[in-house]
Amino acid sequence: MRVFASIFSALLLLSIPACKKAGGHPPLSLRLATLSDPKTFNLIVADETSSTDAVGPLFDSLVEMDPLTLDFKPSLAERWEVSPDGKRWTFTLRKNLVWSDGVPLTSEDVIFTMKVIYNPSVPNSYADILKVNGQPIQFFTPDKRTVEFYLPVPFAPFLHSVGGIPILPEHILEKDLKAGRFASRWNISEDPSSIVASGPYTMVRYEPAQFILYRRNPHYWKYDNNGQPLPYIERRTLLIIPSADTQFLRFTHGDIDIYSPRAEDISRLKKLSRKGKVKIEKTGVAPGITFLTFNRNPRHYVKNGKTDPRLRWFSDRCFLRAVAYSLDKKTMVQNVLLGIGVPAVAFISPANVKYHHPHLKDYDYNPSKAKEILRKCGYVDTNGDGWLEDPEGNRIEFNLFTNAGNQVREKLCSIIMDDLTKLGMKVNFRPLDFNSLVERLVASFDWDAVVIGFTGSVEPHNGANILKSSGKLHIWNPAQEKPATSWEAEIDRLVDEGATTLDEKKRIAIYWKIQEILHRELPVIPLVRQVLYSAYLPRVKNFYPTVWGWHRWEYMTLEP
Amino acid sequence: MKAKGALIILIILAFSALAAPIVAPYSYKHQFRSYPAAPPMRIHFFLKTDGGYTFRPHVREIQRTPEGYRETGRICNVHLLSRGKLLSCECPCFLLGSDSLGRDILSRIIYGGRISLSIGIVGVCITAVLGLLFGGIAGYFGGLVDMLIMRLTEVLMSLPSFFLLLSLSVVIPPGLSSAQTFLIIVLILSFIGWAGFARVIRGMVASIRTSDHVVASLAMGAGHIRTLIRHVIPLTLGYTVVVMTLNIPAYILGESALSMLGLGIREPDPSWGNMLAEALNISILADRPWTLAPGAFIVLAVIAFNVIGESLRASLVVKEKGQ
Amino acid sequence: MLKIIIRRLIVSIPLVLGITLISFLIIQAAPGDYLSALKMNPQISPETVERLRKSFGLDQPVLLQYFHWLWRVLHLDLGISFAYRAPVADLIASRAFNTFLLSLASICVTWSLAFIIGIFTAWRKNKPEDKILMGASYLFMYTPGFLIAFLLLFAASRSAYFPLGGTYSPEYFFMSVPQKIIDRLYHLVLPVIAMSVPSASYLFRLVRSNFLEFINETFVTAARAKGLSERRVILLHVMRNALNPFITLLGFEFATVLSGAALIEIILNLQGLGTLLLKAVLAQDLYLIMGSVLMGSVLLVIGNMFADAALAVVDPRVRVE
Repeated sequence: MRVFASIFSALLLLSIPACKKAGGHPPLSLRLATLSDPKTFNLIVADETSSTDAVGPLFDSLVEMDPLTLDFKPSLAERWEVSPDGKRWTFTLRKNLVWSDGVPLTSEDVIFTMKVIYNPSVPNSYADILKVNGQPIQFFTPDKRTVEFYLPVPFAPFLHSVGGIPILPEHILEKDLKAGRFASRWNISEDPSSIVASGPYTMVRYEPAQFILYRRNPHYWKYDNNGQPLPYIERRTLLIIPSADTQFLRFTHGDIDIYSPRAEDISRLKKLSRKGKVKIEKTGVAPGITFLTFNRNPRHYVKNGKTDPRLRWFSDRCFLRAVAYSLDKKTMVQNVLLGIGVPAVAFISPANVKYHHPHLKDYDYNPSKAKEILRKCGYVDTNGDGWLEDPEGNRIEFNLFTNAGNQVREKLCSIIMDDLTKLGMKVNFRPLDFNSLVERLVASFDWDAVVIGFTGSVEPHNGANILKSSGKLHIWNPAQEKPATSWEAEIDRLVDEGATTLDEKKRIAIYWKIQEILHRELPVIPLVRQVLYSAYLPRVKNFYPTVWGWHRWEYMTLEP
Repeated sequence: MKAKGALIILIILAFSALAAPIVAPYSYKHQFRSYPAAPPMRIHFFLKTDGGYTFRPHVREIQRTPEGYRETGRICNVHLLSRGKLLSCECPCFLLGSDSLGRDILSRIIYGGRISLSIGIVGVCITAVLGLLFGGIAGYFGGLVDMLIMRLTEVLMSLPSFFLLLSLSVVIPPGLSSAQTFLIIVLILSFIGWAGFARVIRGMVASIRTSDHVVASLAMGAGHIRTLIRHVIPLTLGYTVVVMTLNIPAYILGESALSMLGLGIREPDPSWGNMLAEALNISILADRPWTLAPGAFIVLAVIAFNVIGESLRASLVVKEKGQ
Repeated sequence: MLKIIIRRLIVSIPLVLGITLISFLIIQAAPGDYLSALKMNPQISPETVERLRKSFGLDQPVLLQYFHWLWRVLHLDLGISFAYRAPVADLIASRAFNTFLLSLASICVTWSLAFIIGIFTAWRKNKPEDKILMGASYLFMYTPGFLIAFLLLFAASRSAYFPLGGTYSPEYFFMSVPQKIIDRLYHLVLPVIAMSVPSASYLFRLVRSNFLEFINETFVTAARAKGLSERRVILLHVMRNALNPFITLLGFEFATVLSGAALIEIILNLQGLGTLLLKAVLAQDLYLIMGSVLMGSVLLVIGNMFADAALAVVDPRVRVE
């Protein structure tokens, strides 16, 4: 063993000078980092961001969204038309589109993609967003460049849905679909360079837990005004670095070009940017929502004809308003998000510049007002034990859950607990591991209060599953047969109306109305939203990051 | 001598944990909301006046600004043994700094000692007793008993304890306090954790069994149990003590890993493990190194345990030899 | 000896079956499953989740699922990972080599360090060098490996002597074979330090205390009395007796060569099994976990078997029945 050790250390000594030269990366490759390996290269069955991030640059859709204006612009389709009744959409593909292997890309590929999505042997989430009122969309291609979609009713989110569908090569995958093995095709043990792309890049090499190398798709259709092929940056490296701390270190060390900092990194990055080592830019407020919500599900609280008093408190607007007034969101921003955030007011984030309701007046932190509201509605400490009782004399006591291991949410809960305790409510806090929490929320309904979050989307209809009373994620009382309250009925009606209204101004008014109702009835109490930054090395030029993605990123360049 | 010092350190730690409401300057959950992540403050004992220095313990008040904490220039007196506290300040004072929610780290360490000091000992003792028992029996008697116990250890060592804990966490009623929950978890962990230790003991016992003094003891008519306890087990104690003291920090630190599953000590209750977990982030470590303070306490306590363990072993062995 | 091994092998088969069955039941008893995370995605309908459940076979009774799995395992098919939609065997194989290399290197370093320092300190008991090494061990033993990895990485980012994680350089694929070996070893330095330092400081204390246990035994005194040199006394007489527990421990080490150290892998960005399995556990990727349980239990049984055999060779007194 000692012999082995000495050989080993000798090798180490020898290797140091040899390897010093070896450092660095292939020149002029945009180096990005991601936290985990892709799970599959098959975008249709991919269900988490690590896969979609890794494979996204390989596939274009018919249309794409500009992350700055949130409007749609042509991509594979050069133009599109809607019939006056809003039920027929016609897309015309660009001329001479070609897959990265040189085979022409035609409307047959679009039809094939739709067939894959609707195929029952390929369970996937695209099938869900491509349903209108529960019915599939009809599709038809009159010629090689035209695709027509027929909808049962006008459907405003349609363009957004189409913009999210990656078009797949029929000539490669058709036999797999027929053989019923589509879902396991393009898994990560296949050769990544065999993946035929329509997007700006193709994959050159994938080393698990190390990196993915990309090269510009030689057949890509985008060119700048001078006829230069786009994107300007020919190579891209996606480093797989599973620890955020390590990513941060390697970014500050100059190994990564673009880094999405955490709140705790901001102060350090600002210092480095003053020295000119990095650049840091505020991109905006996080698109999602983190909220506190109370269970108002009778299936949990009404047992054997007896109603648990908690159901009454949690559906009492007095109670909810008092809770809203007692939450110190400013402290949450300062102490949990380290000042890098804003109190959340409206259900739709300000990041969604179109649909966010900017005029709602927040329930500002005011514990004495909260106490006053509670007192007026009969919640007082009648027996002098220090805890409030409801008008029937039940002590106000409930469990508060969040998912364990999420430090931000656990700290938010600590503040909430402290605030509500001061109000006289007894809160039992318990973090649960994520899967246990989900089972309670969507299956057993065994919970009282929870702090949890949802990711946001540009298309507000994507939240329908949360907003509608029949939705499985209508978290406070999911999958109702008919709306329990009049305001839930009103939201149901508005969501349906919003989906079928094509006029954007009218849609915005509808979603403002929905946010007003949510703000008034408080089924969810929004807490805080982080302010997002993007940090990058000075060698990256023409870089315009936004919350929703990079604006005109094809024009980015790298200085040597 | 060394052992006495270690004992004194442990007694001080244990006593302050027990008398935490008096010893700790603040409650472990009080949030000074305008003092998040405040740096540690020094107690100055002498105040400079015109006539020189006068004895007047004080701290300098700090205030948060966008650029960080600054001294306001105000001087706050520190009182010893007043208002039922060992130490109280006239303005918020954080001798070891505050955490991100503005809670006093020193107070949280003192309260956290209640959990962290006790839980490791409980776990380690159960493991040691079970390990010595099963390992001793298996090694001493051999044969079928040995075979069965050893296969049992292999089963225990192969079980996915992560899922075992997850499954059991459903059964634990949510009304229990985090300390009670964690005690249950420690019991479970130590009941499945003795396997590896028992295997080593078994190997040692099997070889000691044939040594001269064991044979002599049996020849002199001593029973098997008596021989096992008096002549065999003591020879494994050196190993046992080292393993035991080494495992105490594993329990203290392991607790913070369990809180990832919601099975550890949970907010706002403090423990050294979950306080240290907050510091394990490169940006936080660089910005406020004082969040590592609980780590120093863990090391201190563990070294003290170790020193005591060593001297305990030495005295046991001497006793054995002396007879 | 051969008979014992064969008997042990026969006993091992029901043992491994029992372990996998109990593990399968425990994993399935845990709340939620791989699909739980999808349920919180507003864009995935409950019907889609149900269809996925069916396509994964998770809608069948648990025991039936186990026997399906077992049947496939007997045909050398470990099943498909839910998350990766790829064969479990491929996934494990793709990471196994790196983990094996890292474990082997760190086990070698750990054990050689532990024995050299352990014997040295036992021999020089209470001398200054013993005290210094014992003191240092306090410091390193209680510093978790991932923290050491973290600090090493931090130091590496300040200097330029070592790579910031990874298993090899990006230029690896253009290198000659000797360059490849050197590149690999160079990337192994930090992880091996991170993994070996805490366990070596732990192990050397065990070695030391066990040597001290025997150093004053009568037969050692007798050997000394015979006039043997102190070095021979230690190496010949004390070593043979003190080695016993470490052979058992080495058996466990064998079981862990393919389990990987997830936290260190995550921080130092290694391409090992630890991260793969940790993610599988967190996502409840059933067959991937079962694959690792099976692998772990088989290795453990084999490791223990060899340890027992080695024990019997080194210490004939253990060879009972």
